[in-house]
Amino acid sequence: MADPARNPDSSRDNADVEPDHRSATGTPRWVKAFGIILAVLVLLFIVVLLFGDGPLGGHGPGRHTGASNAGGQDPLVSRQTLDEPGLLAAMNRRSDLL
Amino acid sequence: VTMAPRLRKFVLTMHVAASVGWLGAVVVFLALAVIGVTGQDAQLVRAAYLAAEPVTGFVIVPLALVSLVTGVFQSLGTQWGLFRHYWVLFKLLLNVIATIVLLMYMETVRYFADIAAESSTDLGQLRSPTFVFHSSGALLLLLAATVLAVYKPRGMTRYGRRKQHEQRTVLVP
Repeated sequence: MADPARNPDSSRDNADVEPDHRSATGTPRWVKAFGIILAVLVLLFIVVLLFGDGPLGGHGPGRHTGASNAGGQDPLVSRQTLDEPGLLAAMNRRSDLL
Repeated sequence: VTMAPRLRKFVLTMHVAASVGWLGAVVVFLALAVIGVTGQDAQLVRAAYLAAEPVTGFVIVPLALVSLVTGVFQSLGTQWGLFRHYWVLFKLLLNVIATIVLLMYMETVRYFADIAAESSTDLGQLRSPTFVFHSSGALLLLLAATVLAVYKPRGMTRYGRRKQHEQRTVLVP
């Protein structure tokens, strides 16, 4: 058996098997904070499902793309722009539009 | 039910490998997503969206399911339990939420891969931040789960405290 004095972290050596039961009382602050964040995330997910317009209640295509992006064309990035090599071509096209 | 040490180590190894692999695969997906949004080479943009589908279907989804299953086995086979400690419970919730969203999101991934596969469609349709948004969220979620697994912050649930009390009562009648 390992000498605890030589291993400062020996109390956590078996941490994947044995819990530290000193933590038995009360609800720690991190649990409350984590719980609130998780609840907000779940609520957000449910809202997206209920009020989304994509498949399965809204977590499909178009959910985060905006109405024009999912099925339409980005006015600033046409196929011609993408087919031209380099950022300069894209910038030129954008300045033309402006 | 407590697992034998050899089996426990094996399941733990599987769980860590799957979870870390899942995290890495999501980083790869994020890289493809960024290329898809910012890339100027049309072929590269199409390739990124085409690659995203097999990466999700053959790598991310299987790893997520293996991580979930092995995590449940691991917690039930040790004294940690599944509902006794807050960190285990939160990790389970994060894993379940991530897996559900992932499975639902497969449809979106297929949709964009189909658009990318058709050379006649306009690439403007692929300029969507949805991949970046979802993979960034998944990355944060998986990092949070990793932090919980490594630090194992203290805190027992009411159920855990009751179970602990029952065990002590049995040991010391």
